[in-house]
Amino acid sequence: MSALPLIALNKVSKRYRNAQLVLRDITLEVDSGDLVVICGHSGAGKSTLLKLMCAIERPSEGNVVVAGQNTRALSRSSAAILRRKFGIVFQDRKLLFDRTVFANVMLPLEICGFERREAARRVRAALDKVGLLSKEKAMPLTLSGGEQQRLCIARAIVHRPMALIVDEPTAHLDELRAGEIVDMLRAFHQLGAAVVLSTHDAALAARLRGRAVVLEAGALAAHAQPPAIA
Amino acid sequence: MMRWVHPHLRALQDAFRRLLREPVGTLLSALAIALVVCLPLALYVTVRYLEDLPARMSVSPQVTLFLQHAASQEQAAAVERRLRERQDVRAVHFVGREAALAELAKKIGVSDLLDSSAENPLPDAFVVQVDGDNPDALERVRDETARWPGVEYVQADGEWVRRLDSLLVVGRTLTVLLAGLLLAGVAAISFNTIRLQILQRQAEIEVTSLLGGTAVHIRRPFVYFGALQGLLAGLTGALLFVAASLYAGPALDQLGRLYGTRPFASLLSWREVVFVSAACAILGATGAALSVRQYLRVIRE
Repeated sequence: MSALPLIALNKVSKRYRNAQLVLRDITLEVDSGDLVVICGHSGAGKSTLLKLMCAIERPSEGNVVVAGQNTRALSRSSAAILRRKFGIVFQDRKLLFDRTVFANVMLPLEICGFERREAARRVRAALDKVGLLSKEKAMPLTLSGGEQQRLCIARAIVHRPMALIVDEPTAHLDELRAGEIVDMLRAFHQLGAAVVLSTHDAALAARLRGRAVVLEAGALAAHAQPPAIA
Repeated sequence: MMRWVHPHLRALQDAFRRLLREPVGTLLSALAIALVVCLPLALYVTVRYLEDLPARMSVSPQVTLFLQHAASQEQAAAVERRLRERQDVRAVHFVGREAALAELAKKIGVSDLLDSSAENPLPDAFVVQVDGDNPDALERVRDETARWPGVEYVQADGEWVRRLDSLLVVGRTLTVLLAGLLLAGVAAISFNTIRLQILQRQAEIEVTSLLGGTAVHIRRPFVYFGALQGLLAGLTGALLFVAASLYAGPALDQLGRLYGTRPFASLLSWREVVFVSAACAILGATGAALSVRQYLRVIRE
């Protein structure tokens, strides 16, 4: 008997209010511990697919089942609570620039209702993992692009989510910084968490050695298993 | 249990911090609400002050029947008998014209009045205590007795009490209406203050929502802020009112002593201060909750 997938999309389509069809008939499963790389050009529907997976959006047709819960049937507050199981890194980062690095990473723990001392301990551990502990009192605007992206990763992993949803993590980063981010994501994946990320960078997809899902104009164009690791 | 308490403590701390971060703005907002609170408070206290007046003056409704000069002793006796037979009359007291003259002379301090050979101009009279507080009974006794033989004129002495009573009813109604309107104003001020704060914290609200914050979670710090602001405003309003009472108190007390009323300044008890502050806190929280709710509805559409 196989365990239920962590995320299951069954014939999912998504249409926004302007009636534009962004995703068509997507069927996809993500298991615990998977590393899935969603590839595709800009506008292919990668970000929308990630938003559907973490219950930020609801499908227009079909079903998205996350940790056994059909997101179409969830109330707004239940969907929000479900999102706490994920660590999300947004393409536009969504950092709070009027809060310190420490306070930014604290936010998911505040939402989850952690006790302050335990939360502070976890924040420092997360910042240490991404190499930003020395900058805990800095404001995000004083950080470089790579550091801001690492800060986003710290915020995503601080509450030990069951999966990381990462949207274009290396966009606007040079090769060296992009490599650092990839290493961090792989390290997190090796700890047993699922990682789903989107990218338009084929080289990054290859480097991650995950299961590749290719989107073209909102439809699933290819689905490849990860290459064997030498 | 602690997982439930921590978000509340955190939201409360956040609200305190925001209040203290902008002390001038906080004070001005509190002052605006406090002035709004003072108006119905002043009306309420004034009405209650006046409500005391009739009771303190021990005025019971009474009518005075003045007999005609030419009324005979038999007519006077008949009037007295008919008065005593009435169910709505509690007591009847006869004041003869000689006694009335003596009383008058004593009051105005003119003893010669009694020695004067001139005819006594005062009539015989009956002072009648009407049973019960019903103003209609007073009117009925006055109207019916005025038509009796030998009666010249009937005066209803408690008429002013009725008028005051009617004014107090109007005053009470106005107090309730004004309190309702102005307390809605407190909620509106809070709504607007929080709306401005929301605009400053849009990014935070969006990120919180995306990372799993429910509407309750997002609303909480704003609601605490609204409640604290309301509480501060309520206390300020009550203190302003007490200060105004202390300033105007001596003059009002001097007036009140003439009517035997209690001191003006003591009219706002600490319980009422607590009530006003709590009401303002609740209204502040309500205004804040409505403001956040409206914002969340807009961003979700």
